[in-house]
Amino acid sequence: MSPRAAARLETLGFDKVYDYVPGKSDWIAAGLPTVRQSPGPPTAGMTLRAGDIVSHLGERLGDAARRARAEGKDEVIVVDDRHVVLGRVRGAALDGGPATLIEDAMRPGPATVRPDTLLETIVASLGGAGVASTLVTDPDGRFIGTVYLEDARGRLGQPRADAAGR
Amino acid sequence: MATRIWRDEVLRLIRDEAAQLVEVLPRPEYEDEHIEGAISIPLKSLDREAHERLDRERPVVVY
Repeated sequence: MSPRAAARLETLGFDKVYDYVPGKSDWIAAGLPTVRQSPGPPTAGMTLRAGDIVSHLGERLGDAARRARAEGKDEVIVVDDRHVVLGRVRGAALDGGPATLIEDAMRPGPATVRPDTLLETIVASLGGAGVASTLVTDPDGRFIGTVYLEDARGRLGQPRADAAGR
Repeated sequence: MATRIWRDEVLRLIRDEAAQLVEVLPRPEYEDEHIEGAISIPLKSLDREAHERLDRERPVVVY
């Protein structure tokens, strides 16, 4: 519909007309602000935590681990120069050889969700797999934050049972 | 032909050029949920409302 609207506006004399091809669904999936008539079900964007430690392929594991631990974190998220998620390094893997490149230490291709993914879906998925968190990216794969199972359960009014922590 | 753009460019046009966002879907879809700051001009109303509601000097982004 938007290509026809854009073409019509041009024939009406508007000369600075742009067609946002992916439209509203893309905007929502990116977690950008919208106005809703009714609240709708809770989504990942409502509970995500920011402030994770990010690293790049060429960083030394020891340096990344030091930064993470200084912030009380047990994980680093590996991104490229566009902030697209490439992998994660978690837990004991952070204690590997300090000279190891992050590229060699990370677990590539982690599962991600979008900000508009329903929390109910996330709880079912993480809970079923015994996983404590999942990464949230925009539709282009760029890192936004992390959703924790305990936060999601709390938001849904479910008991905050401990996940396996994987 | 209108320029096709993606999200980053929409954000830039809003930030740098005070672009006007226009949802051209039917009104109920706009009322259900729309991009913050967007106005509703359904496609079938475009001829009648565009000149009244849009500033010709600023970019217009339709979706």
